[in-house]
Amino acid sequence: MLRFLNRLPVFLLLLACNASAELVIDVQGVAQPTPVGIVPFGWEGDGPRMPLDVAAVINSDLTRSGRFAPIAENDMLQKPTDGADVDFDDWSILGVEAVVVGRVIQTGENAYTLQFQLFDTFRQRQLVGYRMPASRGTMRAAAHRAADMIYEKLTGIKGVFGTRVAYVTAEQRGRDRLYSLIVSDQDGENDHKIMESKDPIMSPAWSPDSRQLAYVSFEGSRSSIFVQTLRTGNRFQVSNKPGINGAPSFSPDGRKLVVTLGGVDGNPDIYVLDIRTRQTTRLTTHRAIDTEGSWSPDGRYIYFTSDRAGGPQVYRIAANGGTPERVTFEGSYNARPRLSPDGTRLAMVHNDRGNFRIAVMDLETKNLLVLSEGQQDESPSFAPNSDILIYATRQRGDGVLETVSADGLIRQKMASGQGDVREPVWSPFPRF
Amino acid sequence: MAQKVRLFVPISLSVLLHVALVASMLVAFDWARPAPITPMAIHATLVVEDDRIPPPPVVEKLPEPEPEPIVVEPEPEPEPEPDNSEELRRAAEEEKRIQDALIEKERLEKIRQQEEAERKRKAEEEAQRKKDEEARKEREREEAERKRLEDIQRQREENERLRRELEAEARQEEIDAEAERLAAVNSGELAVYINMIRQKVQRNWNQPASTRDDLLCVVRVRQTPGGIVSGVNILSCNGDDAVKRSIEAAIQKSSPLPEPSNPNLFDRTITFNMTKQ
Repeated sequence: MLRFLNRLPVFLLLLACNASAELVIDVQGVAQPTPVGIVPFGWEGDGPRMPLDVAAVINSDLTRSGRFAPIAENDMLQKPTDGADVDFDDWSILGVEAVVVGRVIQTGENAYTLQFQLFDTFRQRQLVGYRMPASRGTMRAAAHRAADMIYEKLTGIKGVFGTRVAYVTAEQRGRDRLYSLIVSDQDGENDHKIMESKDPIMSPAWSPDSRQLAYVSFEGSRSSIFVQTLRTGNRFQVSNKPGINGAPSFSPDGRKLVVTLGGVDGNPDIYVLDIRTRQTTRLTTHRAIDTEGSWSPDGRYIYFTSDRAGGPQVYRIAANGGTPERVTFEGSYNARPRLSPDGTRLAMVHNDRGNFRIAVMDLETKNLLVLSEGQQDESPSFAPNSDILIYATRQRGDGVLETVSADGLIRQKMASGQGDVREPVWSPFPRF
Repeated sequence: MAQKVRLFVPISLSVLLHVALVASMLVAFDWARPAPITPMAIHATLVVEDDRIPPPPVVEKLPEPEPEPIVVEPEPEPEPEPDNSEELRRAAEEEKRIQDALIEKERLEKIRQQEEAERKRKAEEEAQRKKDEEARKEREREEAERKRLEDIQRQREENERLRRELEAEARQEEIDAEAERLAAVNSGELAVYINMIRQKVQRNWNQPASTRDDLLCVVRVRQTPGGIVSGVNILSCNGDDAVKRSIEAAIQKSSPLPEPSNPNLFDRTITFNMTKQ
């Protein structure tokens, strides 16, 4: 009895902790590249090889996103081209969480079917599978679309591999500089020259349907704003007022542009321009510089840069006019505002201890996150999924393009043509 | 091996307990039936418990009132008539005969009555004797029953005592094991074990881009003694399908889970709270 009484405190203690005796372990995860297997696609058609290595395109897309670590082909224990042949154990044993298999089947002289399937190797089931018609010309786009679907299934975020970017290049040709407006796939491939000029080209902007670009051209040694349809190459001038015609940006409905106009007095202010009627509505009247207007995705506000308080800061004003309201307060320099397509964040150029860097501010919490590491980074532009940004940075004196994830963790250089590359803008999602 | 030796005592005790329990149940079952009253039981009771029999209740039987002998007073003899002596003598003789007959009759009657009383008394005595016998037998039966119940009670108490002892023993072992576990917990072995598992799962968890900042997924994982994951059950999760897939993959990839240095710390189920750093 004494012995038992002796043990009583222990016994009570054990009663007390028995209720929570089960092991509870807190795990804090981080975003790490997910190991995936992208098996070379099978080919059923004329000739020894398919017109485009589809698996390589998908592999490159996923790798460049920074969110995936495709395993090397040599490490694969099997290379099935059909879902029925996938042995999940062969992949899960390698730690591969998902595997992509597919085939390209020729159905005509220039007609193909691209078929792919994505499998979860641990749950042992298909996550997505599609069959898409393609020609030699659209095969790459089809491969990007497949990558987009795979990306979305595995990350929970829409992929942007099927989107494009527009940017301006400047090359030295003898004594002249040659300016070009380029549109390429978001990976820098498949680039097309949209416009070329000996005079500077600036501030390209995508229409919401991604079929048109607005830009500023200094041809004839004075600035004017053009809107150009990509498919046809047709363009029309929408503004050539005396003084400054600059910084166009489309309204969400695509009918208007916010532009910067400066009369003969040279004082730039924010205007809204109706594309069809060419009528302008003045929004700001301050004697300071107001420029770089950009619509909020819901169409209610226009964000712009103004130095009315001394240094440049971001303000916003109701799209139909009103009193401007200051948005940024952190730091001495915040310029060129661009809202994320989901409307939650504001990207800008921010003076970070003497360096001009890309920063993103959470509009709700006002937290500022510096994303880039250069000294003269410029022109941030959100991808349509709001998860990645593209911007220009300088490398050995020339501008080059970089992308960065909105959390700042994944930064990638974008391959592009030679010369000085500036002012990248990411297209909206294509409308199929 | 040490485990086997340690287990031998409780197992033997447990077996003993069960045998005792079953035996007691069998006996109790037998006793529970209405016991046929056998002479054997009565005798045994008498011998052992005689002095404890309470004296039979004294039933005071009031004696029946003795029938009052009816004494018929003889009529006073009439004075003899001098002048009719013969007649008177015959008459007197007759008278005396009748008188004698009456006396005889009375005597006979008295005898009959006495006999009757005697018979009645005997019958009453016999009845009383039978009644006493019945009462005695009843007392014996009651005594036997009382003893039977006492035996049952004694057996029950014994069983209960044994059971309590075994229980206390088993509880003591639990307490000892728990004390060991607590000691291990306090010595940091548990922290080491948890950290090993945490790190392995963390290493294997590739959070997808859609992971929200306030992510919380509670996952119940079952493991076999070798640490092999045998079940993953997401109890609650505010993440999307991509996040849930990544969590399942992380835990499956972490199989086998690290094993504790102290086997007392092993648990078949582990609850993971998965969050974003």
